[in-house]
This record gives sequence, structure tokens and C-alpha cells, in this order.
Amino acid sequence: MSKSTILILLSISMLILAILDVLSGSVSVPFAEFQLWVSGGETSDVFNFIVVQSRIPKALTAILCGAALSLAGLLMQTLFRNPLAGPYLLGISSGAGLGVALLVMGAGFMGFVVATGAAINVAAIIGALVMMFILLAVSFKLKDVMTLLIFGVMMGSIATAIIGLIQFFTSDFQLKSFIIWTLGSLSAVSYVELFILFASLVLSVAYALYNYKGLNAVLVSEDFAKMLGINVLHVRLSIVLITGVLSGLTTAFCGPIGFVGIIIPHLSRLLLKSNDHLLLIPTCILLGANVLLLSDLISHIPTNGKSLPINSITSILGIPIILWILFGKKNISQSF
Amino acid sequence: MDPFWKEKHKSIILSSTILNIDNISVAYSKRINILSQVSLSLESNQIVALIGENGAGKSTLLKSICGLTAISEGSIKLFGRDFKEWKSTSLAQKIAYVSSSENVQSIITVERFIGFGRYPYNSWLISQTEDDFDCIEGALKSCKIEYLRNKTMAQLSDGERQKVYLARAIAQNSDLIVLDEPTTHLDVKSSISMFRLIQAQKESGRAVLFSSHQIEKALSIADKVWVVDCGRVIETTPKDFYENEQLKELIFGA
Repeated sequence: MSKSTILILLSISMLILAILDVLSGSVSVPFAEFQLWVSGGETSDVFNFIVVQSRIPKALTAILCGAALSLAGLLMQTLFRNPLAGPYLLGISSGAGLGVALLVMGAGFMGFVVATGAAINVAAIIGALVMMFILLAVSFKLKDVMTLLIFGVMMGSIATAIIGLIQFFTSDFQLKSFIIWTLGSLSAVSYVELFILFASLVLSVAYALYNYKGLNAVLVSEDFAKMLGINVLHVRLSIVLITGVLSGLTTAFCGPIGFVGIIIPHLSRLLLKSNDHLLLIPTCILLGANVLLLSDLISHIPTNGKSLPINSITSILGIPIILWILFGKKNISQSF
Repeated sequence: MDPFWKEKHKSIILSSTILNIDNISVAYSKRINILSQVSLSLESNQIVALIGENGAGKSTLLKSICGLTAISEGSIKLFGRDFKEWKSTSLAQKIAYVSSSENVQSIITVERFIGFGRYPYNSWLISQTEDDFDCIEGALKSCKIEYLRNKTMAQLSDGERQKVYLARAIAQNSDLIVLDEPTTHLDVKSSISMFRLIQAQKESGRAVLFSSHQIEKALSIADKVWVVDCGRVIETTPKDFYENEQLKELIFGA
């Protein structure tokens, strides 16, 4: 299969999965009414509420988050030349989590309840951004990218430890609302938030594609890239910046969503049989969107009106794939 | 190889001195010098063998010549201009470097890997101009590895991989190729063909600086020898090296 066929097929399957995702759920929507809406016709209020206000944003969230997490994961794996690296490696999501924990449980201490999604999102974004700027400041100074890795992991652990302390001293009610946030959810992301995510994703993809040669060379080694005239510090900073923004925003809007960011880059490499970033970046984005849409579809399966937490779905779906790759004939380290 | 290579670089070939190393020192910490007060020069069309014990400072010297290791004293001039004045892409058009720790075992194909050598020449999407294509083809041909072009780096033997690294450096079309121990891990046959390939670079007007522990073979193709000992570098010729008992003792032991 040629590389462009792969990209076209992934785009088509993304479209099909998105339509299925919009049509399925506790209330079934007839395809005819969906067609009517697409062609601009008059639709019922129920349709408007369920599909336009809830399911379409949810499908768009799945597409954007899947794409953003996969791109962030790919860039982290390239920067650290490590197959286990993922978007949350540098503790950016832990920073977001700390922001949320401070807000949800801190407010509880002062006797009022924070329940609005917008406030939580803002807290998460602030937490992620603070963490990202600390990392950026440090990566200016460091000679060695491995020191950045250790520093990031440590910062993440510190944030997690502080979250643990806050959890220990907090009330049951606040604790539960924090735990629900950590389970992740693709719903309740507003169109404004979707636009912010979309705009950051487009800028990040454009920038990553513009730098694809630097990424290819850095994957060999930093000295190798330097001797080809590539500004390695520039590549490193842009990777931290893109990963920070994308994983920070997705964590803020949907909570931490596991597995996607680590495994999609590997699947893309196996699928393409290449590690050229010019092809890997679009493949990763499309494959990530596909997988998160599929996970969302699966989360609709229970018919009692509730859907399963997305984070559990991605992990349960992902672990067999990882095992299949690890124990199968395909060798991750050689596709790297 | 690009047939106009010499035409394009005529002015440079006439000026002849590629590298001027003036009194450089490289330090680990303030007290320990790896290299101290080294002065050397390198002319175009020259093959220089760098020899010395493990830990003598060979790799450090090569890295500082490539600008990968900071020097604490002195200056390095490339074509008469200080290192710091060079833009990184123009520097990459002058010096190609193959590290000794390079071990690329991935799904990248040989042809694409050699294409890395063209990175300093083209910007963004314009990755395969006819000139680039010719350079990659020429590099494959001059290292006699056309048959490897579609193999991945992970499928190669150590000997084949070293040839691919050299081909990548050749594709970079630089005036100086720096090779850090290109013959380690190679069997007798492969290392002989590696030395032949290095020697052949003179024909295209390039200078090659390489380090090796296979002293006799290295000296047989070299015009100049740099002997590194305890942070000092002694410049000599292969002939003078064999006549100098002190140097021979330094390298071969008493």
C-alpha cells in the first residue's frame, strides 16, 4: 500500500467513524435526519439539542484530542529517542492536575463548591502553562536532553505528591469530583474551547511539518543534527512548547487520556514502515483521531443512558495492542 | 559526484589552508585539561591520521574541530574565519563529521539516510533537487554500496554501516570530512576497503581527518600524522613517525 493511500484511507475511516459516533448513543438518530441537517434543512429541537449541542462537539473533541495527543507523543518520542515517551512524560498533565486539585479542593476548604467546567479548565490550563514555562526555562540552560527528561519526570512527581497531600486533607465530595475529572471525558467541551484546541493544533502541525527535517535529524542524535546545520536548541524548545500547549489543553478540556499518545506513533511507524516525520506527522494525527473516535463509540455501548469513562476505554483497548506488538513478530525498537 | 565541485570551490582550493588551530585548550573542569595548547593546521587535499592511546583526547580534538565541544582557550579558524562567525548551515557545508558513537539501527533506508547529507543545502520541502539526487547517487557509487540503497539501517552489518556513514558524509559535499574511528568493529577486509575509500577522497579535492587504532594501515594512506599524548598533539609525517623512536614507543609501547 502506498503512503498516500494510507493517508486517504485514514481520512475516509475518520469521516465514517465520526458520522457513526454522531448517530449512535442512548437516543438513536435516524440517518435521514442527519442528511437533512447536513444539506441545511430544518430539523427538530430534539435533534438540535442532542446532535448539534452534544454529539457533534463530542466527536470533534475526539478528533482534535486524538490528533493533539498523538502529535505530542510523537514529538516527545523523537526528542528523547525513547519509545516509551508520551505527551505526559514531562509532568505537564500533572501540572494541570495540580491546578484542578488546588481549585476543586482548595475551594472546598474555604467552604464553597466549584462545579463549573470553565473554572476547572482555566485552573488546568494555568497549571499546565506554569509547568511548561518552568520546563522551557530549564531547557534553555541544559546541554543534555536527558537531564530535561529527568527534571520533567521529577516535576511531575512533585505535582502528583502535592495532589496526594491535598486529597488526604479534603472532603469526600470534593475528592469525588476530582477523581471524576481524572477519569477523563470527551463531553462538555464547548465550541469556544474546541476552537482554541483546533487553532493550537493547526499551528502546531504547521510548525512541526515546517521543522520535519530537524525532527528527522534529531531522532538520529543531537550532535548528528548539529553537524547538519540544524539549530538543535530551537528544535528542542519548539517540541517542549508544542507538547506543553497540546497536552495542557487536552488535559484541561478532557482530563488525562492515557495510552493514545504513546501507542499511536508506534502504530504509525509500523503502518508506514518509515520514520520520516513528513509522513509520520499527518499519519499520527489521522490515526489518533480514528482511535479516539473508536474509543468513544465503544464507550456508548452500555444502553442505560450512561457512557463509560474514556480513559478506561483507551487503556483497555490499548493494552492488547501493545501486547500484540511486543509479543508479535513486529519489533518496536527496529521501527523506531 | 558533482562534476563542478572543483569549479565552485576554486577560490577555496587555491587558498589551501582549511583549518587553523591556534593554541586551543579544552577543559573538563577548571583543573583538568583534556587538550592543552594545541596548534595545528590542515590543508586541502590532505589526509590526516590521528593516533594515540584511548583517553588521550582524540575524540575531544575531533569534536572541538567540529564545534561540538567548546574550547576554553585559543581559536579555531576555518578558511580564515573564526568558528563563531560561521552560520551553522554554512559550517555544515564545509565540515562533515561521523561520530564514533553513531549507531543508527532504525527503519530508515540507506538512500534516505545518505540524503541527510543534503540537509545543509536545501530548505524545507525542496528536498530532492537534481543536484541532491546526483550527490546521493555519487556517494553510493563512490562507496560501492548501490546494492544497499533500499535496505534499512537495521539490516546492515557493521562494515556496511560504516560505509553508509562515510557515504552520508560524502553526500554532504564538504571540504573536510572528519571520521572518528571509522574502522572500529570492522574485520580486516572491510577495514582495508574503508581505508581505500578514505584515500579515494583526495581525488575530489577533499581533506579527510580520521582517527584509528590500526596504525600501520592508517599511516599508509596518510599525508600527515597527528600523535595525541596526554593532551598534547605532535604533528609529523608517516615517514618521520617511523624514524622517531620516541613516538614509536609512545604508540606501540616499549
